[in-house]
Amino acid sequence: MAKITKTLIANRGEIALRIVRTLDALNIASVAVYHPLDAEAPYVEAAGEAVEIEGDTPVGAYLQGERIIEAAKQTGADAIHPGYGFLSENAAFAEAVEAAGLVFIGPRAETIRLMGDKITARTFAAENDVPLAPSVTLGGDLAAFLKAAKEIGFPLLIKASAGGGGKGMQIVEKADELETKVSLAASEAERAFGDGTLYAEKLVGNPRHIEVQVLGDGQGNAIHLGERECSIQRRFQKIIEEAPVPSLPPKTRIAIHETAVGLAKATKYRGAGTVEFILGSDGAFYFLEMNTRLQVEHPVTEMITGIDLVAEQISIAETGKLDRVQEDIIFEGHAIEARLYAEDADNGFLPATGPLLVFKPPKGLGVRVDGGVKEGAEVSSAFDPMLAKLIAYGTDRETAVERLRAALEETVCLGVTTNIDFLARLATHPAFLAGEYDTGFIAKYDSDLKPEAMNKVDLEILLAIACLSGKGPFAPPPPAPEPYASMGEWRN
Amino acid sequence: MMNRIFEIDGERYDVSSIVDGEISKRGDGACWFYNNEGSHFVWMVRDGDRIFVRMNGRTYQIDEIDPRSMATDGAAAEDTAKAPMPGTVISIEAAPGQEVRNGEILLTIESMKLQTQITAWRDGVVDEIHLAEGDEFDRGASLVSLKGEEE
Repeated sequence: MAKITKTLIANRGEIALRIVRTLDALNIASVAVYHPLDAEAPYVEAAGEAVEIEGDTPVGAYLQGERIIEAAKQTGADAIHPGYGFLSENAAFAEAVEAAGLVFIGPRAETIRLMGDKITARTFAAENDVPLAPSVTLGGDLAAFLKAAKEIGFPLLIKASAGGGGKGMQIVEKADELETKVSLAASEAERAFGDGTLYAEKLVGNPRHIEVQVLGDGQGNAIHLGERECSIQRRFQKIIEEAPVPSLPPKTRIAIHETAVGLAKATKYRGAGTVEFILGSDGAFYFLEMNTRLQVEHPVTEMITGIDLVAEQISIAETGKLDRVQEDIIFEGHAIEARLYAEDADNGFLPATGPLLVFKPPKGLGVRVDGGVKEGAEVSSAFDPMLAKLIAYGTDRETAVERLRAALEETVCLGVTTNIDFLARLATHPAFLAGEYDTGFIAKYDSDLKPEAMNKVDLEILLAIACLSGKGPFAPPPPAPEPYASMGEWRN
Repeated sequence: MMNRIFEIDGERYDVSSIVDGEISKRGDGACWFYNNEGSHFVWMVRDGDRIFVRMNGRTYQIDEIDPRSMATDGAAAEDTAKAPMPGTVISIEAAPGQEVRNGEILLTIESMKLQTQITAWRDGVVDEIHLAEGDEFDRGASLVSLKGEEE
C-alpha cells in the first residue's frame, strides 16, 4: 500500500483541527472542506488548503459525499479522513472514496454496513459470543412488535436500528406509553437517518456505559487500547468520559477487553474502532454497538497510552499492519474529558446560541484542549453545540480530577450560555470524586447539581457591575442638548 | 434619577443607578471592580441588554429589563408557549378553536435534531397556532396560544 502524502478531512470543528495537527506532525499535507458559515473557523485556517462546499443546509454541506471526493481529487489529495459524525459511518461514501482511487482512513465499507445497522450488528455479535440484552425488532408488523415488546417487560428502551447519538431513542416506563413512544421514535429515526426501523430492548436499570478502544489490521489481527467510562450523560449523550474506568473489578475489565477484541477480530476490523457495552450493577455486561470511527472521547485513551490514534489510523491505512502488539500497550495514569457545550444545563440542557464574546480556554500542566471555535465566533443552531473538550491528565485519578476542576474554574466563556459551571459542579460532586457512578448520575443528583443560591455580597457586587457595564439600552433618551453643548470646545 | 432593573436567574432586582464603586476594564473582558470593601477580579461582557459575568468561578447572566415593558408583561404571556430554542415546526396536532386537555400534544418541533412535543399547559381552547409546518423560528418565538381562561 502507498504512502499517504495529502489528506482531505471530510469534517469540521474541533475534530477537523485535531486531525490537521496529526497530519502536520506526520508531514502529510491537509485539505479542509467548509461551508461558508465555517469560513473563519480555526480548522480552516490551520489546514494547508481549504475548499468551500455548499449544501441544502449547513450540515448538509458536510454530507455531500460526491462533492467532497471531487474536492479531494481537485486538490490532489490521496486519502480522506472522515472524522466522527457526518459521513464517517456511511458505507456508500467509504465505497465511493475507494472507487475514486483514494484511501478511506477507516474500516472497510462492509464493516461499516454490518455495524451501522444495529440489527445485523447484534446478530453478528451474538454469533461471535458477545453477550446481548433481550430484545425485539419491529419488522413491519406493529401489533406483533408491541406484543413482543410487552413480553420483554418494562422499562424498555426503543432505539433506531440505523441510529446513534441518542436520536430516535425513547424510554418506555409503562405499557400504555408504548405506542406513542414507538411512533415518536419512528418519526425521529425516519428524519434523522431516513430509516424508521426500530428495536426494543430490555432496559438495564442504571447501567454503566463502558467502551473499549480497538485497533485492527483488516486481516483478523486486533488489539485493545483499554476501556473508557462514559456513564455521565444527559439526553443520552456523554459529557464526561474517563480512562481507565474507576472501580471496575479486574476480572470484568479483562472480560470486556477480550470480548471487544474478539469482535474486532471476527469482523477483520481495519483501523480504529470502539465497542460499547452496558454494565449492570450485577457485573453482567451487554453489547450496545460498535462505532466504526474515531470517538469524540478518544483523547482520554491517547493520554493514558501515549498513542496518537489518528496517526495509528493513518499508519494502518498505509500499511495494512498494526505497528504494535498487545504487550506494547502500556497504561499510565488517568485522564478525564469534559465536553463544553453551548447549552443551558439548568434548564433541560437546551442548546443555546449567541456570540462567543469572551473565550479563554484553560492552560497548564496536564491540560489538553481540543477546541473548534475561537473568541468572537457566533454559535449558531446550524451545527452541534459542542465548543471544546477539556482533557485533564494526572499520574492518578485524584490528580486528574484536581486538574480538571482547576481547568474548569479557569475557563471563561461569555456571551452564550454554556455548561461550564455545571461541569464544575459535576467534577466536584462527592460521588464523582469517589468514582462510583452510573448513567443515572445526573438524574439522581439533580438537586446537588443545581447552582447554589447567590450570597448577598456577591449579588451586590454583581448588580453594581451590571450598572457599570454600560447604559441600559432602554434608558430614557438623554435630555435635549443645550444650544451650545454640541459646539464643544469651540464655544466662546 | 430612575432606577434600573436587572434579572438574574428569574429574579428581578430594582437598583439605584448610583453605584458605590467603579470598574476598570482591561479590554479583553477582564475587569477590576473596586468598592469600599476592596477589589474583585471579574470577567464581564455586555451584549445589548444582556450582561455576562464570570466571578469566583461562577458564570452569571444578567438581563437588563426595560422599565417601560413591565406593564405589558404578565398575564397575557402565560397564554402563549414560546420557543425554548431555535428550530423547525415538524407537525401541528391542534387547530384554532379546538378544545384541549392539559398535557395534550399541540405541536412537535425539532431543534438541534431533537424532537420535542409542545403540550397544552392547562385545559382550554386553542386560540392561535403562530407558525405552519416546516416554518423555522428563533428562540422566544410564539408557537401556540390558548384562549384566556374563563372568558
